[in-house]
Amino acid sequence: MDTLVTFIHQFIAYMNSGGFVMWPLFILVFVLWYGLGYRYHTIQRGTKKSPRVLIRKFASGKREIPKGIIDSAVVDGLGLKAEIADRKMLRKFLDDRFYVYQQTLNQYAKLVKTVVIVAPLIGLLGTVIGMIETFDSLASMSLFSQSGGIAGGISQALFTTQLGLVVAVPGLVMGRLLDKKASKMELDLEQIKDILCSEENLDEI
Amino acid sequence: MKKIFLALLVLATTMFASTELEEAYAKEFAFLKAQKEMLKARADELKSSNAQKLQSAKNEIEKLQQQVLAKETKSQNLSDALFQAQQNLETMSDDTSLIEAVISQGTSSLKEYGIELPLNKDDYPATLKALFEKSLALRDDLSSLKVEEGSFYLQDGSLAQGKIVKVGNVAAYGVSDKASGILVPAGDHKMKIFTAQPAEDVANALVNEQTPENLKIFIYENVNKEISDTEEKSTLDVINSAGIIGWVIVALGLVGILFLVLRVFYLQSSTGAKTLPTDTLSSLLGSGVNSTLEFLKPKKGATARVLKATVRNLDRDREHVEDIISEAIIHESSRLDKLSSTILVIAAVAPLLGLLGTVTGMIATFDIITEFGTGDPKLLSGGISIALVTTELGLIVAIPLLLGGNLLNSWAESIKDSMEHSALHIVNEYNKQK
Repeated sequence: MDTLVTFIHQFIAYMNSGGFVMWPLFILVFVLWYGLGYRYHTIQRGTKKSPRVLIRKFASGKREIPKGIIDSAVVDGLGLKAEIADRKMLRKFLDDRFYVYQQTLNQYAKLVKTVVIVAPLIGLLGTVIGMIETFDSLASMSLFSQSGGIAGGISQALFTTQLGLVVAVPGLVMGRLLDKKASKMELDLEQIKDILCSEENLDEI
Repeated sequence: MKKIFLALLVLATTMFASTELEEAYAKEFAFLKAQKEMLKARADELKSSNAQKLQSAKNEIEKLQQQVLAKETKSQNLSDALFQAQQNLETMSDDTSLIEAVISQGTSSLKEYGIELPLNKDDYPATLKALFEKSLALRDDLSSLKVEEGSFYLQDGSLAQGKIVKVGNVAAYGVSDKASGILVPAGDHKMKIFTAQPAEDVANALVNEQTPENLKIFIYENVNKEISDTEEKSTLDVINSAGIIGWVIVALGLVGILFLVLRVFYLQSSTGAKTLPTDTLSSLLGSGVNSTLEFLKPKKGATARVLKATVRNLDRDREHVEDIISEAIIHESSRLDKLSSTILVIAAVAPLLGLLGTVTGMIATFDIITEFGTGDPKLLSGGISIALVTTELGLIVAIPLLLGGNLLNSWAESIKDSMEHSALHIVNEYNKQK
């Protein structure tokens, strides 16, 4: 319990040493990781098999319960194919049905990107504010005053940049990884559409 | 015959003469011999006397040499002693000047507290002793908490009479009828009340010799140096200090925020009701095209307009309908994207303007350096901090606009996507039913 209290005190001292910029940055951390976590949980491919294999398996009834996005897409697509005979119409219906999946894949992508751009900028803002403090204290010769002064200004400058980078860099890496996964799955969805609309017999692919 | 006679004569004469010569020679020989003896004796005598003299002279020289050696050693010793003495003298004069420096430093330090110390050049120990005694007494005095009557300035500049609690000579508290609190130097040995941190309770507690709960204290370095209140800079002052570029950035920021708000309202109105596509579809499947058009007529917003266009042309050729839908969406998206690029351009330009202001400020600072040199840090750092203010303003403007602009863009994007999707969905379902 005591360690928790001291930890909270240390944390608050850390946040205060960076000035008012720190709290928005701290909130951005939650926004960013909420977005990343949501994306991580929704972008689940399901079975790690190529769309061809999946379609064959689901079509032949070897497999019935879909696990992830691609699996459900295959099941939906096969259902539509059974309903609609016209290939041209089928593609339209597939576009319609797969819209939900595409939306899921791209959810919060932009938010994560924006936060990753904005966090270092906020850090830079804190740095500039700290530098102004430093130069002001040089000007007024109150170099070692209790609040601020040279040390206060510089520590503010460094802490904010630090937190900005700490927020941005993992977000950047994770965001890129998830983006790559999502774009690959979009390609898979396209492939499923193409396979279903092709005239080939499903057992031969 | 004559010849023989002559010869005989010569011979006789010769014989006669030789005897005479022999005699003379013998005589001479004896004389010379005696003389030789005498000379020999004399030579021996001289030789011996010379040897004696030589000996004595040698002895003399040796003696003298010994004397010289002794003298030289003595002189060496003496010069060593002289050097020693000189060194001693130097050390002593060093010591004296050190002592004098200590004493003068001590006297000048004590003078600040009104203690005069006579400098007695003949008796350094006594002077030093007096110096140390007085210093120690002063130290005891200064490290104690004292309450004395006095006056100090109030916030409005009036002088108040009251009690002053002095914590040595590094901090003070004042208590009077009008106001109490921490005192800070106001220059010229006067004190003034410290307004930045009210500490009436602390001052009152100290006057009453109680221990305050929280000891708020202002520790100053020097009673004579005035502590100036740090003037709070208002936002307007900050922007003003950034000059014309600062105002340009602020204006751009206001325009950007205005656009942001406008866009939020526009997108809000474009989104319309979430259930609109499903309502339209159920109405279409239930009661046909005409009544659906009636249903859509009063609806406003981009989605409703696209749906209207879709429903109106549902019975045409499929490709034709799709062209109409995509045209309607393009038409709407140009409206949905209104102001979006302006907002992002402002977000991009604001930090650049800030940088411009910083560079301008730096140039001004360097101009000052060229003119006045680097002697006064106040001139330089003031200029630099003003230069940085523009960057600060630029970032303050850019960050919300970037954040808001990007989020609104993704909102607009999702509206467009959902329009496309619902139109496609309606067409598909309608055709399927048909």
